[in-house]
Amino acid sequence: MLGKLLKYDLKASYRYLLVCYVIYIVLTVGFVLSVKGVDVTAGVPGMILAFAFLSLTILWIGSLIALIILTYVLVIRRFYVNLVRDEGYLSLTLPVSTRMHMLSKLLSGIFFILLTGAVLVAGFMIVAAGLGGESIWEQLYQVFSDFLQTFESFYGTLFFVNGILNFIRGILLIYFSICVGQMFTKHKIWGAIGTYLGLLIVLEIFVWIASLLFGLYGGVNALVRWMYSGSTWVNTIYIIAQILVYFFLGAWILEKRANLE
Amino acid sequence: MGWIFEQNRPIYTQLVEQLQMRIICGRYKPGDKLKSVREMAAEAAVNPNTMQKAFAELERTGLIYTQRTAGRFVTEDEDLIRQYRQRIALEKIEEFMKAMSEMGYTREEVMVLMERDREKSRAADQEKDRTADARFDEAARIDEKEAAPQEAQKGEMDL
Amino acid sequence: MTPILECRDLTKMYGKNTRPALNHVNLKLNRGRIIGLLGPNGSGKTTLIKLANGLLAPTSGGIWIDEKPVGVETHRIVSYLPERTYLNMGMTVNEAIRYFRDFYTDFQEERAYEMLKNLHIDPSARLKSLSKGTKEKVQLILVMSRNAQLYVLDEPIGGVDPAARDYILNTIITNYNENATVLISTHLIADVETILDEVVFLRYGEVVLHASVDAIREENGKSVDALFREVFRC
Repeated sequence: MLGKLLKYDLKASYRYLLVCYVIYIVLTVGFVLSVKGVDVTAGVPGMILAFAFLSLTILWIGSLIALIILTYVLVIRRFYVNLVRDEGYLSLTLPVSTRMHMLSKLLSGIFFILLTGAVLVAGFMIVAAGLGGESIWEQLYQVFSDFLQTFESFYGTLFFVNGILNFIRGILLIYFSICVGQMFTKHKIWGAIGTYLGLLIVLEIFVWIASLLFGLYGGVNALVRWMYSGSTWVNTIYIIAQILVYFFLGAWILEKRANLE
Repeated sequence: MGWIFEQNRPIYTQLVEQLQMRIICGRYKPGDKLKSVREMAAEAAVNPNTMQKAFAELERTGLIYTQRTAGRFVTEDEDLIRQYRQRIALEKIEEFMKAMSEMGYTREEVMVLMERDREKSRAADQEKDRTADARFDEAARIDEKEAAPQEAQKGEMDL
Repeated sequence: MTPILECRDLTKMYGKNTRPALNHVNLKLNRGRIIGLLGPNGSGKTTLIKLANGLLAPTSGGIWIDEKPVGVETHRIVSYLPERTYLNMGMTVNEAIRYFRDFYTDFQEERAYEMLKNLHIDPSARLKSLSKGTKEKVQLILVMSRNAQLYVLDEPIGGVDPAARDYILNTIITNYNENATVLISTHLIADVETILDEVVFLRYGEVVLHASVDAIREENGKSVDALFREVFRC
């Protein structure tokens, strides 16, 4: 069942994203070409090129940001429309558990966001290759091997793992907020936004109090480490706990507290 | 005739009546195989369970019978059908008489009225026959007329 | 035989201080019936139907289908037609059929295609390009092409023309299996009356009458439609 759900979740959004990726790559190439063509000393045509360069830079950076936002919007919209709006009448009456729905939405969401990330990186590479000349590949290789080095230390690895978990937590927090929000019959979207912001604030306060308590026992160092650590076990457990709560409680709400208007 | 149901009586009763009528009128002939409950129900746009009940009632009275594998058939007992036909005719007459007596007619007066009705319908029939004959003659004359010029044309062509 | 659907003391309130949409409803629906769920707007028909499909949670009491609480197991045997369009409008009719085939093991693809043909619907058409009435027909075809034990149809004939209506009612009579129950909510009683075994009248979230159509006609000397108008005369 998970496979089938995933198939339809991917099918529902890939077309939009594909178009956006193509636009982004085209803009990137345009940006690179315009930079290469700029020669301010060459007079008026050069000025025009400079203007083109400026506008393409803005466009390129704009498209980059737009792509990230759009990916998130598509991922969130799919969850909302497919599960708690009209399409929910079909999705939630399929012989499929709501946990499967959550998992499929999570995996497809991760996939799309990572895909966008990969496309963005590809864009950077094009820019780097276009502007940086030969040495850029060596530099990129250097960056990559530096990155690999983080895994040589335990804390580096943990930092990386926590980063991934945090990313998953971020998506699930949004899904969970939508699940809670749909219980507010008249204000589903505001309910979701309120839940999301409310949870963020509550969690911040929680971390702050917890680190204060830890701080009392372990001194200021412990406090600082607790608050800003992406590389402690406590942090890992804390994030995993959130992931589990959002996932299972969200699925439970969809199953037992569904409130489709 | 299709299936038409009155609003104020059970559908089941009306189904039984209409099925009986179809057998009596010979629309379903003795020994005919009947459609399945489902098909009949769809045709009459009624609930299959109700159709099933109506069939069961007709089976009880013997007008139809079920052969375990082959399906449902109209009885081959033509006497039984005749009996039912007469019984229903008598019922209709009784109904009619009741309506007449409610209007204040005696049985004798009704008979007189019936006789008058028969005269009238006989006269109407004769009239119909006459006009039909006349129309036939007319048609025959026209045919002759139309045929004649064609003959003539044919003659010319031959020349 | 156990009932296909049973409500015990089922109550649903949409807010704390509102009138209940369903008020302590006790109801048993048997297998192999075509049942009309009748009542004026706001009487609780759609609420009851959503509860049976797990799209709403009861405030108190409960609802059981085939003696199981509403959930994945009951979704498997219930075929539900909501009163709105619930398909992804970007899909073609073909894709919608594939979707149903993927998720419902009791889905009969040939049956769906035959009905599409009879109603002259192009399977390659994209759903968003179809008229509202045609979309409704497509959904009904999908729902009726399952071999379910309970069909729950919320206003299935509301928006379609009379010819299609006849075809749809015909489909309902011929397609469901003998032990399946069809629950039809509608306000067009006269159109469906002859195909119903029994009716459930809802008013203000309460069951005011649950009887067979012929029993109603026999006792009252009038059609269910006429009785309905009388009971719910405002």
